[in-house]
Amino acid sequence: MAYIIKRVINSLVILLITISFVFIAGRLIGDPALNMLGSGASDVALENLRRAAGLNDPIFVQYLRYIGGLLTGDFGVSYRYGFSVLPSEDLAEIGQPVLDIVLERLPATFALAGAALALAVPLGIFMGVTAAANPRSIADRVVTILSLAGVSVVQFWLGLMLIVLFAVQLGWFPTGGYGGWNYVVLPALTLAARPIGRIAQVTRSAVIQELSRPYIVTARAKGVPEIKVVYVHALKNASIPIVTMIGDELSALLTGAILVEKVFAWPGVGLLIIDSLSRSDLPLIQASIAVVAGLVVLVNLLVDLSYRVLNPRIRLSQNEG
Amino acid sequence: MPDTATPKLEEIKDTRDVRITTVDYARAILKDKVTLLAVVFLLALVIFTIGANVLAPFPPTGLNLRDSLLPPFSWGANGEFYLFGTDELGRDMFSRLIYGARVSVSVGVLGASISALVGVFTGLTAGFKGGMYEDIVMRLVDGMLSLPSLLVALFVLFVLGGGFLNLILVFSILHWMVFARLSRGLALEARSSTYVQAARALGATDMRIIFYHILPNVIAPILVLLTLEIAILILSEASLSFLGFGVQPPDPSWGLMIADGREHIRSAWWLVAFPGIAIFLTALSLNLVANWLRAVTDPVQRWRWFANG
Repeated sequence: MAYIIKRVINSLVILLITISFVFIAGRLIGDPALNMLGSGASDVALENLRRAAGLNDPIFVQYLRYIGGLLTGDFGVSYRYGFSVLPSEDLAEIGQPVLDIVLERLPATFALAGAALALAVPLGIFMGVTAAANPRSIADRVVTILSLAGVSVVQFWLGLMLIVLFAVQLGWFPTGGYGGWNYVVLPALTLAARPIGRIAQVTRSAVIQELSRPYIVTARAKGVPEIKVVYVHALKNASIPIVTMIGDELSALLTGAILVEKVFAWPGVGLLIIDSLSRSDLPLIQASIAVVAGLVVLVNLLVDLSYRVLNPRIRLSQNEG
Repeated sequence: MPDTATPKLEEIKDTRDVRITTVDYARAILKDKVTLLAVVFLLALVIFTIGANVLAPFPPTGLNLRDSLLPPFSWGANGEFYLFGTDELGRDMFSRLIYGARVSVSVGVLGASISALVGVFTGLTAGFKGGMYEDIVMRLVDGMLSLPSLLVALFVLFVLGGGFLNLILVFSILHWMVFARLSRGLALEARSSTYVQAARALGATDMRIIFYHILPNVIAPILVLLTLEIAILILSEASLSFLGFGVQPPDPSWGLMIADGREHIRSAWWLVAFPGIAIFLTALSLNLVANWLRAVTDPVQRWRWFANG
């Protein structure tokens, strides 16, 4: 229990440091008002915007106000969203709250990452077990090559190649965008390539290790069918490293989605981050990074804790210490 | 991990007593055809990277609008031969790939090497000295590792601006932790070994023990990690440049070439295909070499490679 509290506090501190870093670094690149309106803006327009956004206060005051706002769920308003003309003193009334914009995009990212995970876990485990059950066979070689290829390929390039082949040439799937199930196939496949490779690699070596243990010999001697020996006896005992790897890949999926969303114009948080960076929309940048970093830190925390629940050896040594 | 057949006792003894030389490693590579191919590819890449000025048939930024968007294996208006075709400005893809290798490979190698220097130094000293210092270092390592590194890299490059040097800086800041974590574990293990006790009994200073005695004994896993990290950084560079936050035009980098070719993807597939294949082959070769290095430097596995000369 003490360990869990320590880990939670650690995660919160990391998150606070990240959010503060993003806030301060965002102020260092120059006057936010000038960045937004461009060098052609009049002094009056700049001054109006600065006053509306509270940019004239000392940076320390702005920082405290920002952190105070976060605690009440107020991440500020966007400088760009919902404006037909450039923002000025009416910022507070017209500007959309950035948290709403980010949360609106989250389901699309979750759908993409979830689809990729649903593809990668069964496929990766199946490939790894098949290779382990038949070492040095052709299947083993194919799995080894495919899994190495999966971790060596550049995701966004794979996405572009899939578009050329399946969307442009064959016309089976749309080239990008958001809609029914056929829109998710190519992006999910692109995002799944790396986790498939890594899960297959880990499964293969873990199952090979289990298959050399005495209890497997016993099971075979008792006449348990080979498929049951491999899939039930060996895989079950090999599950801890596999689950750890899947957990690692979970947070990689969330950030990997940034590139895949860009390639397929998938309207998730990743695409939002790229857009807000290229438009220098500071409040939106801060909120989207805070949300994604928060999610990744949370996933890492949960994976770490669940690993301890799954593995009795670690759980026991934690209690002793 | 290949199957776990146990070696015969005599065979293990053989490799322990006989010093393994560079020649033995070279021989072991020659026996393994796949790794050999990977090494040959990487060597060729290094040669092309260093000798780009001499080896590239055309200058990378040489415009030739009459020859724009020619497919691979075609001849230009003035009889030039374009092995991999040309881009929309008539620049030779093969030459641009060679110059792109220079940027992509050096970002990967320099970024990973600086990360390794910083990480190995902090990791070894933390593991060896322990105490508060170790606590602080490892908390920093755990914290930074739990952040999404691509996202942080994107933001820092947004603040600093893209470019070659900033990429290396960002990669060094965001990748030293993996080396620190590995080195700390290795130092912890070595701290209680007899050779370290012997060195200490002879009055060696901490720094001498760490870098003169421990480091050479733990260098193998660090080299494996370095190889893997170079591959990871080359992939990251491509991703960041593709998004517009990495290497800036007109410097050719592989990721940037893919981004540029994207507009013509329906008509000129070679603009996107070749840089992607170059990255893929480089990362694949590095992964293969890392796997091989791991196997031959593992005392349990390596008898297989050196058993009968």
